[in-house]
Amino acid sequence: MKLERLFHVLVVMSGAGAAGCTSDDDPAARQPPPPDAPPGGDGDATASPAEEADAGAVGSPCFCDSQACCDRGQTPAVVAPGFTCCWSTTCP
Amino acid sequence: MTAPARAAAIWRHRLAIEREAVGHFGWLAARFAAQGDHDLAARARQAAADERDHAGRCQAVIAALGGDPAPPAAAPLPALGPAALPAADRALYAAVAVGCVTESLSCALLLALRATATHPQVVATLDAIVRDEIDHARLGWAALARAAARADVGWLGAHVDAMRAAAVADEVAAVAGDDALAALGVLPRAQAAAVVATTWATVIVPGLARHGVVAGATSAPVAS
Repeated sequence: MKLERLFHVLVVMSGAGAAGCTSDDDPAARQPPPPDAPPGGDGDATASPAEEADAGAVGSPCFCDSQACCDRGQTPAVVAPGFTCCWSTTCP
Repeated sequence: MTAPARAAAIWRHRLAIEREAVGHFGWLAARFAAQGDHDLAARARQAAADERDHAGRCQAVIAALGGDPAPPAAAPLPALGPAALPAADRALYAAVAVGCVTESLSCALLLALRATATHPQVVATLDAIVRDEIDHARLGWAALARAAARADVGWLGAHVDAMRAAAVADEVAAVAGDDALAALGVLPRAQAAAVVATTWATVIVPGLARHGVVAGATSAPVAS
């Protein structure tokens, strides 16, 4: 059980929306906070390199039963590029 | 009592907690809306809807285990926090108690449950619930982050131990039982206690400290 990821997923990513996916190509997910933003903010959706590593080896952490994370054009579905499954989920 | 019957009894306790959570998130949604935090209000309304769904899923598991799925009698929603807490601070207290503490612990415990459960309906239920609980915990952390950006929230530190005690009493009781029930979504008590201790030390305490809340701090609450 990957408890070591929980701090990042819950606290650092508290400003994220539904616990689904953020894409590497999603500019909103990757933009740094504005220079005059107070520290801590409304949840730091962006992460330090160490925290990114903690989130997963490749791509953004994701519940891989959500539509955006899985390439369902293949059978069985595979994880779409830029995402990594977490919390023991897979693409069904 | 058979193993399914013992497990069903624990899932009934879980059902009661889910039903109470509907009320807490509904209350939070109203408070967030009243103070102009409409995005947090929307997330809290979604959380309330999620908890209603979780209650239904718990009932289905109870029925699958041969237990009585009828919901327990509705109890008055307890107000969170000490009676002397200023009204202006009560929403933040509730968000931290429910989101940062209780839901964060719930996430960790559910992940531990998921690792050992094998009953198909239990597995599917845990998968659905843990996904939502992550959002519910994030709501608490987001509310704390926002409040900390606006004002000193260190006063919460004096209440963290009480939040932990309340959460552990509910959450551990909701998941822990004898060692023979792991496949049915029940953790051995020793494992549940270990998960709580680890989550407390590695997630909740550092998360609170990140926003200036130190567990055990004795500063008095100040109306925000």
